[in-house]
Amino acid sequence: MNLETAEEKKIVSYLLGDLSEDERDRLEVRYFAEPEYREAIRSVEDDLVDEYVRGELSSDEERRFADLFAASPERTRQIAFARALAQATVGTAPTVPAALKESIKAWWTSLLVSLRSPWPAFQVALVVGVVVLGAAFLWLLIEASRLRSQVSELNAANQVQQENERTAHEQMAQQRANSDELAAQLNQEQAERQAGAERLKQLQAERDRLALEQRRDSPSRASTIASFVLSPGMVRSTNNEPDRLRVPGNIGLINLRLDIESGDEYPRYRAELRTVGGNLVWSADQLRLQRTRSGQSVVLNVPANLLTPGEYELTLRGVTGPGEFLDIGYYYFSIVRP
Amino acid sequence: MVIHAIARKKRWSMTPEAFRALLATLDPDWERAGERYEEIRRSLVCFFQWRGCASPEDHADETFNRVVRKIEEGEVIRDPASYFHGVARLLLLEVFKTQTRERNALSRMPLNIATDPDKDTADLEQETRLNCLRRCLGKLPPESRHFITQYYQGEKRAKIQSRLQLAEQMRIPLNALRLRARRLREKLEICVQQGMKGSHF
Repeated sequence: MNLETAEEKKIVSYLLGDLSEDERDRLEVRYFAEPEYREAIRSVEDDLVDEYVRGELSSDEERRFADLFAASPERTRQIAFARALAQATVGTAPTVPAALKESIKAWWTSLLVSLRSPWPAFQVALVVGVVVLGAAFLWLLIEASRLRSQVSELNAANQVQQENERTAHEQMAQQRANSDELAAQLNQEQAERQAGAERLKQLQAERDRLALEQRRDSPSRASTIASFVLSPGMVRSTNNEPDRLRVPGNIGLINLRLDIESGDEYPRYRAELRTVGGNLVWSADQLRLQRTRSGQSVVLNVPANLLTPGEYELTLRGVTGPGEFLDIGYYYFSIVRP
Repeated sequence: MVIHAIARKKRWSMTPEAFRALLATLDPDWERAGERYEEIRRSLVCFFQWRGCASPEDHADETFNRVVRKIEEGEVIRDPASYFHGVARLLLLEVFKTQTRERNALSRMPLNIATDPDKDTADLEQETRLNCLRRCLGKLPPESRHFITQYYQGEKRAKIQSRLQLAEQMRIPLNALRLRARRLREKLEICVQQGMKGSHF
């Protein structure tokens, strides 16, 4: 517990019997209830006794002390002990040398005398000097406080700036890393694209070469078509042989029109071309019915190079469902190369 | 009624059982109860001293007697500190009334010349006391001896400054310094009292 001077003074007043009844009761309640306060009162009592035996009390205090404290043998013993303690401890510690003490005392005394000087001008000058010094000191205090707060603000701003710089550096580093990564990806893609372009060039060159060879072999074949009309169930001619289709060497496509009888209409058709031995040579799906003034038919375009000279059977099938077919007709013919 | 009260006072004295009951009220632990008893007794002695009583120790004992009688009657004491304070205050009022009556009676008596104390005896006693104190100081550890002499150096403001400096040197608060000085002083007082007894003072 920290004893303030006012509290010490209150305790001294209590010990000398100067407190009012209420204040005394309040103090005594604290005294009995708080061990620390008890110790504090006893410490102040010790100091009071010491001051009494050393003659440091005022005359009024000394009188009241003597009235109260001399009342009991215990108190008398306390005073006697304090007197002995003062005698035992005096001069045992380093003190200020007497000459120095005297000189300091003389200086103070002369200053006090000069303050009481009959020269008003000196007194006025002294007072003005004190006031000026006081004002200067006050100004210095205020200025120092202002500068301290400025320094604090600057420090805070500096810290914020450093933080911002650190953040900016981190962001830049991150962006640099991202940029490097993107550049690497771009390079990779470019390389892949170049490789793809190279491959494409190679394929195009190959295709052109093949096309050139093909054209050299048969320059006008790809564009020439031979058309024939076939009827279903036309098995043989009168001599029991299929129709003979003459296909010159320059024909690229053989256009076959297959007549369809009524009742054989389907949304889609499938055609299968086989040799006499039953080998499938060619087929086509998703064939549609075509209606003309002469009737309805299904038209096929068979590459001529697939049809070597010989006899063939063409089966036309109507699509009745997914993967389900119904044979509509069989068309027989032979290919002859003039 | 008054006669009975006086007779009762004369007959009653604290028995060991009553004392044990008192200690049990102060604390379940025997040792701590004993410490609390000593502390309360010291507090009561100081209280009666500060109030100007001539026999503070007798009054402190009487306070204890009255509290013990209440305990024997079945009183339950929840807050011993304030209970003892209350009993002490009532006793103090009685003491003041008695003192007032005695003062009034004395004022009507012819004045006797007070005898002067024997100056030589008092001086001898003080000399003996000083010698005992010096011996007791010598028995203290060096740092305690140095501390107590430093603490009591100087006068008025110089003494305050000296104690502040001492507290700073020892790196303890001023109140801790005062408490330490107080403890050492009590130790020295007890030592001196024992020395004085041996010297028949």
